[in-house]
Amino acid sequence: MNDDELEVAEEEAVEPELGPDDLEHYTGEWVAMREGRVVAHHPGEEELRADPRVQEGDDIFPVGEPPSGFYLINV
Amino acid sequence: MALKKVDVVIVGVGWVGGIIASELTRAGLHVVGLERGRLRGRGTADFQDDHDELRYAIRNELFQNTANETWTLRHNLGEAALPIRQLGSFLPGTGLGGAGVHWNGQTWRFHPRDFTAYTSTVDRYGKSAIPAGMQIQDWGVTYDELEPYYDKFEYMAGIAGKAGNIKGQIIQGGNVFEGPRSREYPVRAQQTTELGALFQKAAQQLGYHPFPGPSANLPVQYKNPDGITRGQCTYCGFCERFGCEVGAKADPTTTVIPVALKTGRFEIRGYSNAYAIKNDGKHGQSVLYFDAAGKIQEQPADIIVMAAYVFNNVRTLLMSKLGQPYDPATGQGVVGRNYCYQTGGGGASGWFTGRRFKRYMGSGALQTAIDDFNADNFDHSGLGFIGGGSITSGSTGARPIQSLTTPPGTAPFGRDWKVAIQKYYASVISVGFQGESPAYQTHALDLDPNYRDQYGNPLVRITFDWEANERKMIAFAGTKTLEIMKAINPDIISGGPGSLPAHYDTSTYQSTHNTGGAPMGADPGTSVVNSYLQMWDVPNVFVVGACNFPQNAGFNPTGTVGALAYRAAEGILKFHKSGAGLV
Repeated sequence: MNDDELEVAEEEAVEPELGPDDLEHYTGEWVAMREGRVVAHHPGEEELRADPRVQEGDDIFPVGEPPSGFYLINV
Repeated sequence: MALKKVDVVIVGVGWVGGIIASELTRAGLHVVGLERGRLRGRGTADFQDDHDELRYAIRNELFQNTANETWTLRHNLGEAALPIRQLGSFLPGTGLGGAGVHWNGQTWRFHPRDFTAYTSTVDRYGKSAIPAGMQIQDWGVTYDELEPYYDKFEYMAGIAGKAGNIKGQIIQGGNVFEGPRSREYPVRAQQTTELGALFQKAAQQLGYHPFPGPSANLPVQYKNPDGITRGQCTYCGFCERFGCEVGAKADPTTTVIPVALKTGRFEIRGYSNAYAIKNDGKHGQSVLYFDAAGKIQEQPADIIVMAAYVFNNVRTLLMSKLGQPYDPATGQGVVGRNYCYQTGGGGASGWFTGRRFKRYMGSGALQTAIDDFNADNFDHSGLGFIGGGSITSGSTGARPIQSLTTPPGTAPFGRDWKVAIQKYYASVISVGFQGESPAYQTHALDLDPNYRDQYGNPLVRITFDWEANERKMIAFAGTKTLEIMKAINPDIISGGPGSLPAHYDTSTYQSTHNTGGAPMGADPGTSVVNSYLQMWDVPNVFVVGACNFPQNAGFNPTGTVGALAYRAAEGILKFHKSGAGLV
């Protein structure tokens, strides 16, 4: 791959089309996932757990912002 | 033309390279160390302006230069990997002593369960507790087998701490969850700070078990078994990202490297960038490297030791076609397998009004910790994740650029920000969580097909992202750090269920605890090296470091890396004596 091709590849890769289950869509929310698919999402944990689409065994967690870096975990 | 053959050539002269060199040279072997960076010494010139935060912490004086060599990252196998063009998430060191110069000195032992993570999890929770795709495995060595080497590292480095378990006897005030030690730490624990005391009191109030974190920052003068004497810490607060001008922080340049040099049998070559091991598939013959002039040199040796940072150890094996490369699509192969990181997040912060602490003072490992939620120290039934992490509150110093924090809602710049900084600089406390990073089939290292370094060699490609297990672990951790913060009772609190971003993000510093890629184990089908860090396929090549971790634990890795280095040195000497075969 030459430099021009690399540049094109990089540009194309910078803005990929996000799939429906990409967690980027849910930043700041709680999501429920089952087998890699987002089955429900809500701003809060309680609302999510009350959602009838959510089943026992689903992975439930919040999706956060990129780290702010204040609390440093050190080498 | 090849250079004169030596007994041993070591690639990378940090903690691992220094420890192995000190052990081998004292046993009479002639050793050459190849260091890619400069040979920083202990002279005045090496430490002038040592508290220059801009130079060291922002402009990365002691770290790998990504303009010369970097890594590419993709979050999954279908994504195009792109280069990490600026340091952020992690900070590999370069120059003599490596990351051992700019570390903080937090020196933990992993838990006995960490070394048997797979069997312990299955035994307690059943196979179904391990999520699909997770690839945790046992280390092929037990805590009890490693204990003498942990002990040796701690006495060499002068680790300050308070034991919580000596030969099975639990001792309150130390870490009551730790594996049994053969004896007490060599140096008494650092004195608890006012911030540490607040954390300690709150944790005790909640029924947890606080203790002083183990530290390589000496609170008192110490003479180690090798005859090296170091002075006590001045609590300047410039450990992380900086060298220690008084030598109170143990680093390879103040401990093991001088011991090796004193024998007259250790030669270190700076600006020597190794890239491959010449071999015939069964025997390593020499190390190929670029010298300071960019000229290729060949150093033959009877024994070759890879002691560089995780990425460079793995890259050199892959470039040398040593060991079967790992294929994350199929899970077959070993070199590049089980790349892991450290799962941070879930911390809580608190601000006091009208109460000021001496935050400008501190040392890199001056902290109070609890271990109640690490490893399998708590019942995971019903939690939906395995693993855990350590919870700490540190007094590591508060530098003028990177340690400024304000309560939520404060303007990010301008007059209001300045007023808030003045008001809160000395009035903040933080509680952090450092979690495990399990291995997954699709998390791996390999050679990037597109991007190359300054010499034209392929970069390492990292495939990594956060998975549901860690997301749930961090959410849980956030509730615990918030609980502690509420018990501390500052005027303003920030915290709550912790969260990881949508994808692993390299732009902000998180941890220089990259691990795996050359895992150790008892099965050549799932590991690169045996329990003495000797390659299964090529017995005269040893690969040593955090690259050997089959998965990462909820602690800083250096104590375990040091223990592995001492064990490897023992294995190398056995191999040298026998002349062939696996140790």
